[in-house]
Amino acid sequence: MRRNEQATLSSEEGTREYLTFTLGKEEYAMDILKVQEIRGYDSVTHIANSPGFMKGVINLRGVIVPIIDMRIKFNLEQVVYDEFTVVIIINILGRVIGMVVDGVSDVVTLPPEQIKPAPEFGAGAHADYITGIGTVNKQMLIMVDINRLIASEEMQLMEMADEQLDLAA
Amino acid sequence: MIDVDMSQFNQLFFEESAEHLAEMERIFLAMDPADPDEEELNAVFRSAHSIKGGAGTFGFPDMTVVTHELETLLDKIRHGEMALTARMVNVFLLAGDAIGMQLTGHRDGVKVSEQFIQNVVEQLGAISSDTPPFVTPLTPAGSPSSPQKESEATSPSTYGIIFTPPANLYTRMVRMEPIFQELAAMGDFTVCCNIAVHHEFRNYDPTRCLAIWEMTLTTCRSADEIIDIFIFVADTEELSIVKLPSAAADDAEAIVLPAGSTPAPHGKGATTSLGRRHDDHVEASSIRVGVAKVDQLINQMGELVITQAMLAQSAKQLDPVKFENLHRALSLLERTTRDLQESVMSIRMVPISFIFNRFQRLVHDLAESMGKQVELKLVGETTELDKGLMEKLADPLTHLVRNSLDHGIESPEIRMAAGKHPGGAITLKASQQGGRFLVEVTDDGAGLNRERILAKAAKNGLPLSDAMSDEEVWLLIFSPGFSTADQVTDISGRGVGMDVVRRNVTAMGGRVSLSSHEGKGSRVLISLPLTLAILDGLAVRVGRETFIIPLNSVIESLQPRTEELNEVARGESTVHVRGEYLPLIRLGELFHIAGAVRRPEDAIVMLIDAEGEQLALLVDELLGQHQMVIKSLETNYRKVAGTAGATILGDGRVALILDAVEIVRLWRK
Repeated sequence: MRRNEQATLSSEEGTREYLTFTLGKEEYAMDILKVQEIRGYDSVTHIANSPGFMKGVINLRGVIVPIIDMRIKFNLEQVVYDEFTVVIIINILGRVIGMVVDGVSDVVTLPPEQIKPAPEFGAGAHADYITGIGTVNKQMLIMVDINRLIASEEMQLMEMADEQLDLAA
Repeated sequence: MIDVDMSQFNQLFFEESAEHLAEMERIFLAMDPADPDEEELNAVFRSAHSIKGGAGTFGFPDMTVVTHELETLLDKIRHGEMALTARMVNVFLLAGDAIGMQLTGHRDGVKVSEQFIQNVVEQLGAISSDTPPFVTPLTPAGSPSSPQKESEATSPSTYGIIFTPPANLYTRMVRMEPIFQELAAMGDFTVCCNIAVHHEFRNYDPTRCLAIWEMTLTTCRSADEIIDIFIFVADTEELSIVKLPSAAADDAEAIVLPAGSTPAPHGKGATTSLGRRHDDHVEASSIRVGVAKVDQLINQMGELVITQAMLAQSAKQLDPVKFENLHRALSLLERTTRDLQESVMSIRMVPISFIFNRFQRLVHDLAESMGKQVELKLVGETTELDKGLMEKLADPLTHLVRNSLDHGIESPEIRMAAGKHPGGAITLKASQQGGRFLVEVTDDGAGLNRERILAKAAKNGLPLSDAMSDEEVWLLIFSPGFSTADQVTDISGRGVGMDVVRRNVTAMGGRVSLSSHEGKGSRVLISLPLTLAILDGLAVRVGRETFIIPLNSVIESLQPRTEELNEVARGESTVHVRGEYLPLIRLGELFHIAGAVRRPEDAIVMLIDAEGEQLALLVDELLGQHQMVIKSLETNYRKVAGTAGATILGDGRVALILDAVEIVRLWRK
């Protein structure tokens, strides 16, 4: 019985699908099961005394959803808001959060052997939520563990980030 | 095997039993052991019996053990075979706890303390064997009907019982065997199953009950008791009990149910027992609904309010003459929405007596264990509060009542020495004031001791000064790890008291305040918002942002004149209103909003009440008053300093709701 479960798990892991999105010149990939929907950028209500990448909150069909701009978070030079600006609404750790990116490209299927461990970044880089580097058609994909990213201390999205992560684990 | 979800019936049994237990406890606490009310004894007996019957039917045999002992004793008492004592009442209360414990054990899968239950059973057994049954009642307190009962008890009579069950008897998972066993235990019993009403075998459905049971029972017990056995199984119209002519040549009395119309043949006891059940039928004008369903309804209601506001906002741009019908319909919609909202919100409102009544028992038990005489007074128990808040209020209130009992009320000797009545009083008072719900715990005990608090605070290393006012000293007891009790008791004094109370109340959007007079007693006041779901708010604009100020904290708004404004150091200014100089809090600066009006003369000053403290808030413009559906920011984000949540405006945008007390705190930083 247990062996069976493990078999299904690993086969699921093998055929895992990822949503790829662009931030500046880089291509990122995240687990597609965490994505709730993709929508355009609306005007937000600003939250005072919050970090710069925290754009504010929006009303998503009656639910108040915080919007973070990953481009500001990752220190990209060009941050424009126009009709092509995309917000990925993700649903993780029981929360709904909007993530502004430059664009959404594709849905790819990656077997685990196509994902290589991430190289050592210098201190201060976003190493802890980058789980590896994938390659699709010779293009490099930065694999992001969205749970770790959102729950990380520096995002200041949650009051008790560590606890939440433990619960989810 | 019939595939029926048994759990839903179990749930019903749990709920009913919990109600029976609460009823029993209420009666026991109100009962005067020296002169028990016969009708109340009957009511308690019926409750115990219902629980026992249900426990047997639903397959919880362990619960029948305690209930059986309790029932036996109660039966003896109500038939005047045994006199009720205060000690018995205490043991009965314990028995109620034991049953309650078993009930939660089955419901939530919690482990039950077998030792406690065993202990209770032994105590109950001790009572029934200790007290010699007296043949003739020593006091005339017995009851007018007891001689009749006794004569009836000596001569057995034969009853014919016909049970015509509904077709769904089996699918309700009712088993007849335990009932037959119980009947057989009462006397000489025969049963015969009549399945003559059979149709073609082809259409035979084994899940439908087509049987009719005909029984005869020769017993000393009354017909009521037979009916009681069927209480979980049969509706009154399905059961017919006829007293058959016996050797004693009694008149054949037919007790055909429904009993409401039948003249009661057995004196007072029988009348009330049957009459009560009839009443229950009338009272059952309520339905049980899961809280999740109500919450869903309230959420959808909130969405409707927002949609209606959006519609109204869009319609404003339309020509009122050309679209007269639309405007009329929209104003009708607004009114209906508001009415609907009020009705929906009232579903969640429950009277505070739900938790107040628990304290009767708590005070009774604690006072006894501490050798104090305490009377609990309840005032305003019918005041209604949101159910969610009510549940969270229970713990802090318990803490406060225990505190009053333990530290507040003195022992009778000390009270007498101080020239007070030996019995202390604790008052729980609920009231509604403006948009808030107030609950007060007052005692007439010793009050807080300034010296002792200061000494303890010094020991705990809290910052102190000699010039502290009494109010400031009282606030010290809200700091963590603080206890002024001379000795740590089982009840309180472990230093987890008042800071937890304050934390819990603050988490509900409420506040705690305390006043005390040495030797006269102390008073703790908790103030809570009536509901967490909806509030009346004033929309204000600062720069391009909209904020909501809860209407109940708004005192007034005014446009300041230059002579009313005074510059103080560092760009801070005060505004002079009605002889008072209030610091001016610029919301635009506090929240770093670009484009906020700089000159106060061009803006609006809102006078806000923050827990008794007035503050002047500078905003650009007043937008209007609306009903707001409160949305939590914490669901997907985190708490935002200075706010009490968010709401959705008519145009679909999010606006933050300001919290006056938080604003002051933020500003002081």
